[in-house]
Amino acid sequence: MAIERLGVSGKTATVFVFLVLSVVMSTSSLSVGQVAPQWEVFGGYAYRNVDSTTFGFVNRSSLNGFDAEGTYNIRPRWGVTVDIGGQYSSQLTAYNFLAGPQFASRRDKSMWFVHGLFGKAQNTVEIATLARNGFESVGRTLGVGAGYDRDLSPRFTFRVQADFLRTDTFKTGQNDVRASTGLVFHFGHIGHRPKL
Amino acid sequence: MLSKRIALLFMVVGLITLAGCNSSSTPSSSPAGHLAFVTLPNSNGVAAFRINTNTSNSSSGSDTAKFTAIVGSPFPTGNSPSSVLIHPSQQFVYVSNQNENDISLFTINSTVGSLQEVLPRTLTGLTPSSLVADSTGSYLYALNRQSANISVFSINSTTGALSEIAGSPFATFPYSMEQAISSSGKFLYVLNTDISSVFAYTITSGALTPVAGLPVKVGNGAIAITVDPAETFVYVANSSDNTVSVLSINSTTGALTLLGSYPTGTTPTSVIALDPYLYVVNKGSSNISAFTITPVTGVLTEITDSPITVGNAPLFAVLDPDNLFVYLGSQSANTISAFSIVTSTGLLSNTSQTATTASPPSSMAVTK
Repeated sequence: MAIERLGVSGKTATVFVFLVLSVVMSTSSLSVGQVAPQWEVFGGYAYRNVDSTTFGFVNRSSLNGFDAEGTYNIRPRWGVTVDIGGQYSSQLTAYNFLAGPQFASRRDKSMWFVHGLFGKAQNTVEIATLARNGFESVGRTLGVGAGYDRDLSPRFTFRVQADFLRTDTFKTGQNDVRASTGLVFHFGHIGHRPKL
Repeated sequence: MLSKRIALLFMVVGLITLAGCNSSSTPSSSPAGHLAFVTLPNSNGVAAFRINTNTSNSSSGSDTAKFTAIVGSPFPTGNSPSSVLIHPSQQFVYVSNQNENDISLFTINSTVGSLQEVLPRTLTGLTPSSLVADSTGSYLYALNRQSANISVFSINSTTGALSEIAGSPFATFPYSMEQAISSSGKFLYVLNTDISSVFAYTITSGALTPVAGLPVKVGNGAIAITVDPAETFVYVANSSDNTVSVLSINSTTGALTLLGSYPTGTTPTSVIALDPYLYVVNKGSSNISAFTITPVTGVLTEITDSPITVGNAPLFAVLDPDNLFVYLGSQSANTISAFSIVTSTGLLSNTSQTATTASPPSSMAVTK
């Protein structure tokens, strides 16, 4: 499969085709006038599946932890997102520090978004030897993801989100996937509602 | 509204698929792979690799074996590790540190593939150069080159800890370098390069008793020894004569009888037996001489197209636990290379898979 020659598994690629399709279909009937919050701050639970076989683990690793994002909307559809996450298992810890553009398609009480993220990842394997406890590696990270927000109140929305993260640590590359869910708090606003 | 519902469906399918991305393997691949541990005397460490094999085409020799370096590798050992041994339980690794006269015990973290040393180290005689254990993992034998003896330890099956048995160490000829134990654990054979001879011992509850009679003379520069899995023959690689010697085992007494010697490539340094095939690693000519073994008589017949070119002046060979691959260690290239065994012919096929080590490797062991 051609995409596998790029280092992305067919399964992972299929997942993101689904996600992209979902966003494209949902943006097919955009309203012309939109209003958006100036700031969106997300915090919640994150599950991450780390490609730990690339540095010797017997299987991929399942990690649980948090994901936090802050988005500053420059326009109703465009914003800049900063993403900080940490996920943990008994023998592996993964942190990411990312930033990048986000495109949003807003409806009355919901929003779809996609983003591209760039930054650093820090993976730490918790093993003890005589010389040291744990081995840490920091490397470049690229991410693409999409999510859906549903309004709960004027200030809060519920979010589900999925990301593909390509990290380069321990002198190898990892194709990780992350699923996050939690609450978004937003404040301020930009844009204006269409005149009736 | 319809497109929104379809989009939501896509999202749910995507997330479910993500959740199912835990581990994947094809049916013909080894799901957990094997762990390989390689001693690096100049680095005072043990390199660790995971070997994932795909063994769907053993008859044609197109199997593959992929090395992945374990995070944290190489793991520190004592001074100048010379030999590595994996306990049959696959839980412990022992490494002889020849310049500090002791043995390091490690526990294996099978999930990560890493090693954690358990202190204190166990003292041996002078310059332990070779470690072997019986197939049940009850006793460990350390051949001490400079003190001319063999330290024998009982192994705690729970902790892996070593306890020297009564009567140990047992005397042997000075400057013996290699040893091999029979699969039943009844006999131990010690090879001395200086006098090109094999010394035989019977084993009773770990204790060694020399077999009556003189040691058996083999070829010049005898440097490597192995016992076949059926415990019928002993094979010795003679690095100066460029031959491999075949000796038969008396199944009652353990005594050896030289049956004959067969030409190999230049400077053979390692020999491995896999009935019905025998492989001799020729460091000087960078190839492998492959033979078929005639049952009962032990006559060797070189396989058509042998010797097999492997390159990189290999020093040692280790057989994969599934008997489908041969791993070659090269001190000139600092590599471990995988060759698949063509089960139908006995020939070896280069998988083109190589692991690089930080310094010259001296020995290797592979988990089941």
